[in-house]
Amino acid sequence: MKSHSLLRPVIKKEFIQIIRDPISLAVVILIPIIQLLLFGYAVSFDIKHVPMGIFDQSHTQESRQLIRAVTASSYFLIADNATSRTQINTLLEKGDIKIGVIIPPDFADDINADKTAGVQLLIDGTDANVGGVALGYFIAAAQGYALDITERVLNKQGGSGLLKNFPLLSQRLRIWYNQTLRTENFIVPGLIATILMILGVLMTSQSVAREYERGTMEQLIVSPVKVYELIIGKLVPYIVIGFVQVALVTLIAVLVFHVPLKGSLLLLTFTTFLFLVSAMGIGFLFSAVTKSQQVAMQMSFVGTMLPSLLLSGFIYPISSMPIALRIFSYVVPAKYFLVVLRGIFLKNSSISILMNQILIMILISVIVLTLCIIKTKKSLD
Amino acid sequence: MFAVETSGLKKSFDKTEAVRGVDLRINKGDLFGLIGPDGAGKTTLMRLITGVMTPDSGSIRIFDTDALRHKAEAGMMLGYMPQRFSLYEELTVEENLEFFASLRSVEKDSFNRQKNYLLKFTNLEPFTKRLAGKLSGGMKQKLGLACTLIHQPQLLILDEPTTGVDPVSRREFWQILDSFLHQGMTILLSTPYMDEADRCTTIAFMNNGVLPVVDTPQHMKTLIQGTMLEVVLKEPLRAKQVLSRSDIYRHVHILGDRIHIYVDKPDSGYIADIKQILNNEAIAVDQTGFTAPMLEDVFVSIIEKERA
Repeated sequence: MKSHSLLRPVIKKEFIQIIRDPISLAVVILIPIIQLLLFGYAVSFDIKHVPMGIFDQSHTQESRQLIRAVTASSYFLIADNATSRTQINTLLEKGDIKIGVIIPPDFADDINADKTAGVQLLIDGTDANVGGVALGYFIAAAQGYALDITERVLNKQGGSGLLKNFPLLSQRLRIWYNQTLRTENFIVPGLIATILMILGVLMTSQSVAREYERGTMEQLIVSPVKVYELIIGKLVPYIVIGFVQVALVTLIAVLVFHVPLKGSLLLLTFTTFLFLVSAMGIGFLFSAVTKSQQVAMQMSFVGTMLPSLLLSGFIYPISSMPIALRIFSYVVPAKYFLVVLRGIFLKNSSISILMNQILIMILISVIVLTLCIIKTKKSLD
Repeated sequence: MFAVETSGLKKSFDKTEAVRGVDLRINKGDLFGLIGPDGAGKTTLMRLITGVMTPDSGSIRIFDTDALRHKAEAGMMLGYMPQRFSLYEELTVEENLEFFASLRSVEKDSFNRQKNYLLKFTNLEPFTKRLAGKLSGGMKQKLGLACTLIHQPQLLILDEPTTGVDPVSRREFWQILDSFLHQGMTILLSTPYMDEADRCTTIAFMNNGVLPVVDTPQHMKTLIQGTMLEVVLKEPLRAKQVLSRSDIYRHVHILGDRIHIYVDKPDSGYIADIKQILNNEAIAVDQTGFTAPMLEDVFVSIIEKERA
């Protein structure tokens, strides 16, 4: 018997099937672009313009200085100048303000008497993230003001320049890789990994199941085509589409969001290939196991959407997750690709730095494709 | 050597035994018909022979090749058309043919020759560039046949190939089968149509996962000694119920708008008697007469005998 490889006819057939459905193809190419643009612009973890209400009972130069110190940054926005404590409460309850500042009547007197002056802060804790960050900002700003006062007090007491010689802790902050802490630099590589993961699995999850559902699997079983030829033959066209997606989103990342691409394009290509194989392998596995397009699609949504959003380290750092989730996150390929992308884009990481991620992606690919081949039996049993 | 030879073939799904020990021999060049009620196990038996499913026990030989051990070789010798359309709707007629040919590693020259021949034969030539999904039911069926014939198999296995196909396409389909039979091909097919069964050289009647009767259609009809009394009427179901209660006319089969009653000889006394019984129950009779047993009568009587 002739032992031609049947890879080529399968690849050709898959390509034709994909091209004959131009709407799906366009959707698959456009979705990552649209999602990247949408999320890239909309998602921002910076907290700015937190609405603040102030009930200033002091009405002094000192109290106004404090307010100015706090609002000098764009972190807070004075939504309301309240005239009573209850008004602050109401504003907080209605959600008009997230933070309420109550300056007592004796604020200035205390300062001028060199006593500790108190300010009351009411924070809406329902949004724990915003609340926590707002508190941090406020404390930092208030401490800056307190330091000014301390210096003034010291000056008044004749200790001019004393503070300068005071053994204060001096910090020299240097932020690496993303000097300006731009959210885009952080978010765009994460988005790329997440979007490609979801789409990669979704696209391929239909492929094997469709053969079962339409009965074409019976014809393939009777033919001498081998399972690995079938799986690899189906994989190749999707890998090509995956590369088109990656090329487009990379262009958008660099041109629209000005994310620096510091690392090697060759390394990016290589790691993208590994990621696509592992992600799409998972899609094929869903497809082969469920043998139903609909179930495979649902499985892909549940199996990729949440894990790659939540467990990839895209939004929440994996190190702060409970152990069970951390273990689960090990099988999410997006987690590794995310590290790789951030490394290549922002840090110009070398292949040796990313070796762990690369090896794990190879491991996932091998395991998943092997399972696929085992699960796609050449039999209807 | 047989085209197909199985022994002790068994296959169950969960708790139902679909095929319960089938010993089948199909001669080379035969047109072998598989007939039986729905759920008898016909499709499963065909899937076992084609290798789409693996039997729980038993053996299958295709032209003396052990089909279980040498699945690929056996697969190359046969063409299989499943019951439902199983081609790629997004591919054109030609692309489907090309794909199935390349799966069987058909050489280019041979492919072109066979393709042109099959397209002409199936009258699909004008539709070469049409998407398979856009073909009519009959054309889809013919394309399915063409795809299974593209590698020139010696054994063709067809699962209800003409079910749901219009009469004209059905006739065309049979013309194609006839010509391949003349070329020496062996065909195994299942069919719900008795006229198609009548064309077969051998028929196997399948019921409850076994083949109680395998014979020529002619000989099979002689299995019923006696004759059939045919009554055309409006209420065949009620007539059957009424007649079945009598001692003499227990074997009553409904055949559409008529019933067949088994009697030992064409005696007009039976007609008068039956008219009388039906008349008592106010069942109007349109027409009566004697007829030779048809295949259906044989099958119904086999089923009833097994139930008893």
